[in-house]
Amino acid sequence: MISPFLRILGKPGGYRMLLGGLLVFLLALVTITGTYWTRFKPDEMDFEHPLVPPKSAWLTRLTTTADGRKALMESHQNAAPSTSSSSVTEEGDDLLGALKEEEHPPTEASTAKVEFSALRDHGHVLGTDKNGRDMIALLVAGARSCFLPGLVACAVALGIGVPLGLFAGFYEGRWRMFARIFNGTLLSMPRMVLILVVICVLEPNVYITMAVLGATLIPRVSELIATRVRILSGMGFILAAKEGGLGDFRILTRHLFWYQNRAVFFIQFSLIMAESILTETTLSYLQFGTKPPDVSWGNIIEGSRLTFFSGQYWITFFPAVAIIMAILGFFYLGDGLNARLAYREGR
Amino acid sequence: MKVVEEKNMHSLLDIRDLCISFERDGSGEKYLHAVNRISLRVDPGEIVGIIGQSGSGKTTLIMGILGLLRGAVPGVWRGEAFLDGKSLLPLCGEYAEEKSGGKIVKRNTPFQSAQEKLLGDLRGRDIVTIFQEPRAALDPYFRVGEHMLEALRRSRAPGGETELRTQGIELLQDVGLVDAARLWDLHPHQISGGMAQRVMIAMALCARPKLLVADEPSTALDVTTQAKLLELFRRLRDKHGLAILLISHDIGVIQEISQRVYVMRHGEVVESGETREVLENFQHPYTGSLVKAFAHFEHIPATSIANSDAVSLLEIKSLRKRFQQGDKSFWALDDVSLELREGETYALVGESGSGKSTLALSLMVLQTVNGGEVLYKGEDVLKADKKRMRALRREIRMLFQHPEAVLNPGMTVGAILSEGLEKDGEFTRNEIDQRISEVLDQVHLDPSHALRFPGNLSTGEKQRVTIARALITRPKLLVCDEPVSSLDLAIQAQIMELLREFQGRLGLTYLFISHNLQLVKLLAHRIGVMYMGRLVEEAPAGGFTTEGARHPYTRLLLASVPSMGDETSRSICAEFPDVEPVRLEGGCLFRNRCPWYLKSRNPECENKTPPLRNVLGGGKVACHLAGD
Amino acid sequence: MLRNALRSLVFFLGCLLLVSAAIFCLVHLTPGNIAEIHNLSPQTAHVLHLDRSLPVQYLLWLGNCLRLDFGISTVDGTPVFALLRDYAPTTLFLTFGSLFFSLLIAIPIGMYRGLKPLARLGKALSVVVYTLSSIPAFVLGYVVLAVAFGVFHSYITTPPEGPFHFWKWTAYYLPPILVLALGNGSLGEFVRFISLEAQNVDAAMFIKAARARGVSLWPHFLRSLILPVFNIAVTNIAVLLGGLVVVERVFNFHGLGWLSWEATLKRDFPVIMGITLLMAVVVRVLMLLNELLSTWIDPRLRQ
Ligand SMILES: Nc1ncnc2c1ncn2[C@@H]1O[C@H](COP(=O)(O)OP(=O)(O)O)[C@@H](O)[C@H]1O
Ligand code: SF4
Ligand SMILES: [Mg+2]
Repeated sequence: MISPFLRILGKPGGYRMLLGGLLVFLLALVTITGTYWTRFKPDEMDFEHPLVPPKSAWLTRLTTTADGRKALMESHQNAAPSTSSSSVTEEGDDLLGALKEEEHPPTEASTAKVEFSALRDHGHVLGTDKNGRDMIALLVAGARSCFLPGLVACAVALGIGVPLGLFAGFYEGRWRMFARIFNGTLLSMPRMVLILVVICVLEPNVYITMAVLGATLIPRVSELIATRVRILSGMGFILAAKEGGLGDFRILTRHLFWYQNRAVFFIQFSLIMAESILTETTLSYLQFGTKPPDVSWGNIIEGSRLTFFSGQYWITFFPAVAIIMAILGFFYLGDGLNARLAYREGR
Repeated sequence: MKVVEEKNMHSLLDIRDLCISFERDGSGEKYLHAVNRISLRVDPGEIVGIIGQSGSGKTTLIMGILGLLRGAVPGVWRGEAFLDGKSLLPLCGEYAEEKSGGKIVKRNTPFQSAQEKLLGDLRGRDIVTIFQEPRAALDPYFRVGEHMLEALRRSRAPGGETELRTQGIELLQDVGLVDAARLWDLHPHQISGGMAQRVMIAMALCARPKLLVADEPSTALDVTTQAKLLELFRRLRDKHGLAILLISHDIGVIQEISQRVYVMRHGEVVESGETREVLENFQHPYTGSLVKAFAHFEHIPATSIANSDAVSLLEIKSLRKRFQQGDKSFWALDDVSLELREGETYALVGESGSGKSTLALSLMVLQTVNGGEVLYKGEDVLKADKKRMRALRREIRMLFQHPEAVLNPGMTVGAILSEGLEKDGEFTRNEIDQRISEVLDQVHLDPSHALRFPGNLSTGEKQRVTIARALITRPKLLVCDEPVSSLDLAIQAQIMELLREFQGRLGLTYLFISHNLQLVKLLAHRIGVMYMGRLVEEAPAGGFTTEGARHPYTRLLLASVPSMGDETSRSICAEFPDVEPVRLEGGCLFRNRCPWYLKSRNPECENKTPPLRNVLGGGKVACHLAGD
Repeated sequence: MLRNALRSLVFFLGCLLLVSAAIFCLVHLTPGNIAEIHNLSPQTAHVLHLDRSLPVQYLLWLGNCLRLDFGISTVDGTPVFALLRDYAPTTLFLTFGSLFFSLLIAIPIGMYRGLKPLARLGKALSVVVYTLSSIPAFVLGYVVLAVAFGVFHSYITTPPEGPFHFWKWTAYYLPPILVLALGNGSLGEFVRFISLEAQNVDAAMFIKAARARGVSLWPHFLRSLILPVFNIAVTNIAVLLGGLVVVERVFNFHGLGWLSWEATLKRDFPVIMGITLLMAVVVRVLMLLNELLSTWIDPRLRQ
């Protein structure tokens, strides 16, 4: 079970691949299973508890004695004098307490239950934002907006870039010229600015912007593939395939794409996913991507612009960590695969 | 230590019991012994050869003592090396002594940096090196002159820029670069490989070194250039008393110029001694396989298909191909006509760039041409439509020089082989599988090879797979473009044997392209010689000797083939001027290198393209002055 | 050489023409008339040539652009050219400042990583660099801001006025420059590229030969690496300019990036068109320079 993972580690780029793979796997898991285990919904506003800081009750439970807990609880009650709110949440928390009951040592069960329901009071483990929305629910909801837009960008970038690259590398002359001009034009405009132009013209829409992002990535993909194809042609590969009587279409799809460039395809897929998360969150931050009430990590951070400077760091901090983890996951996955490919090809 | 110093008084380079091993998989347990207990000696003024197949550790040996092995793989060292009594592997020995007498010692940083320090002073002064790819060994951004100045400054030559320039130009002229003043301002990509190698030698000579280490100096060069280079080596030894350590895989080269030879295999020296002695009375079977790789070929007489009543299979008529190179363009194929008869082997020889490969690609319709016809059984291949072409591609197949470049590393051997049959959907899976095991058997490979990837095959096996790939469509004609040039000698012999076997059994016709004249003589019935895109001579294999050849270029080619102490060849070579081949305009393209023209200044040679005309003995020649 | 240079020039002009056409088409072929979107009166629409056919409009617009007249902002009527003139200096300063910083960091790390591929320090440094540069600029911006507030308890939000004063300028300009230089992907790209290039040169036969000759290797390294480094720097200008949109927003800097953000919010077409064109010209000019320099320096391209 473990041994294939260990074997990967020994290979070039192994650590990156494994780390990236784990992060991506985690992200996918959260996206898929998120709704089943989050306690709040992302659009559920707990007006009683706006801007509560993160609580790590389980941490407290693990590290403090029963007496200490009591003292803590008292101090907490002193600190939060609003009694009405605590009664409301205590009720809500009974459910959770009941769920957790089995884990308690039966002798202390009742006292511990009371203590903890008081400690975790409102149940927002990572705190809430200024509208009282639960951070965990927001983060899970944000994870969803990572994948689908990314797939759009990949579809455009790879769907156009790969054939263009294959043609430009395989047929010199016209195709190459066309690719050069096409790429040159696209590369003249900074990516972000081009996306802004499109947003300015059309209504802001994540899928359209992601398609534009994909378009701006066409030059990278197509040039990469074209260079590889050109080198392969020089090796006598294509000559030999033609000598064997294969048609151009078959050479392009089978030899050049499938046997020689599919690794590049997957690597680019991973890197473009990273890029699209970056762009999506950035755009949401600039208020052009996902618009509230829909949730994206970017617009959570945008919403926390003011609270960040008044000390409520967590609203900014957790999405930022999530963004970095997601991007690094895809990035390391692609990078590790790339190192592996480079090693296998003896570069 | 004292004893050691005294013993070194006589020999210039003294390597004792040197071992260099590389870690195989980073575990520190498996080692690849690239150099295994090698002892070697070079005396002043002596040319010593090291011969061995690629991968036998020749390069590791000399790169190791020169401190130029800078790989990612940590290695293990043991042994000693001295240049003129000075240790080249400082601390290596000391470490060994520390660790109880001659135990293997991990290479470590102090050792490497100490070696660097010491070698930094010796390299480029006492011991100089030249490499296999001369043009790659020159910095593309530096002019020839800048390279020379750098080397002269390194050798602490006195004087300012102008004096150094004069010195440099003299040195360049000394190694045979006549128009050195023009070369001075050129960049490496503008000069030929032969010239670049001479520039490397001139740089090496700046410091009046004691030892020149030459790692396959002529492998990338043409025979004619190689002959001139070996002549230069000989002269340098005689004139400057330079000792040369010459590394080569070509037994002819070693035979021709070295006094003593070491035969290497798998990192060990299997035999050493006087060259003549070793090669004639070899003790080790490996030496025997090098000397006699083709011995059994010579006994088989050329078959009699060469007589003219055999049916013509392929006829090439005035084929032309023009290439654009930068702003200039030239004829890579200039009015080439030849004919292949059924069941014969027609060999095409010539220096690199003479258009052999262009001819092959053109007749395979893998390249457009600028005129001419290629008639296969009377049908013009160049005009065939797509459907017909597909059928023709099964009858005419091609072998390429580098098998690894042809076999897609991502496909199994089986997939590679079946591709030729699958595409038309004529055969069932079963038939294809059967045919695959059949051809694999024909090329003496196990049917289980069908499941393997090319990456796991040896070079010889790969070339067998490419042959199987061609045979699977049951071709009539096989165009072989240098099919064995990238292989080791023993494997060359096997592949040649295989090709010959198929000719007998399947009645194949070969167009066999090679730059190796000896090889060609083993297989060919008729031989055509190309120069600068033109066919200059065509002769039956029997008439392909220095005496029988009509065209001066053929004579030069044949005389340039290295051989031991053959004075006639050397004197023939000496007739020819030491100039670079250039693409001339009009007339005979060979005239700048032709001794006859240079003597007679025949105006016809300048104005009129010599036509290919029949001569006695069944050959053809394109030369105004050649006799019938 | 002349031919290559001429080809580069034609390519330069062609690309710019295509860029302008693309932007124009994008803006004018979309559903919804500009005049309608902004509720312009017929007179204004006439002044803006909005009632003419598209090709004519394009030519008119292009002609005006060539005369540096990019139209007027549909929001407040300021000439776009004046806006560009006012906002561009900050942006250019930030761009080239951060390019300078990135290279300053990337060249040593990249060279070290390429020449000593096994060194632990190099590996660690490159991991740090890759990780840093895959963090979105706005997140990194918050980190820098947090540090500014946490350590210095303040952050200067207005541009320094009056004569040049080192600390004032540094305090104001350094944070965005750092964010752009470290984050935003360019740094990782630089390090990766330079290390690969250095590795290639180090493995080249001519370096081995130079080593065997005992001569100094630096001249050889330097000459071979100048062009690639310049090349990668120039190709990344567009990335930096794009990153500025975010960075200027985070730090509230009034440059072209900020302007384009605002123009997008207010759907101010002429402004965003002007900005895109200006940036494309900057990028293309640098690319042209790069190509000319290559043909001039590289002997293999020169003839
Ligand atoms: N695609 C090409 N473009 C330009 N020149 C070429 C091309 N292919 C071959 N040549 C040139 O044509 C000449 C003949 O080459 P080639 O047929 O490969 O010679 P050979 O096989 O005898 O070594 C050489 O000068 C070579 O540089
Ligand atoms: S034609 Fe003249 S120049 Fe050419 S080979 Fe014959 S004699 Fe020499
Ligand atoms: Mg050839």
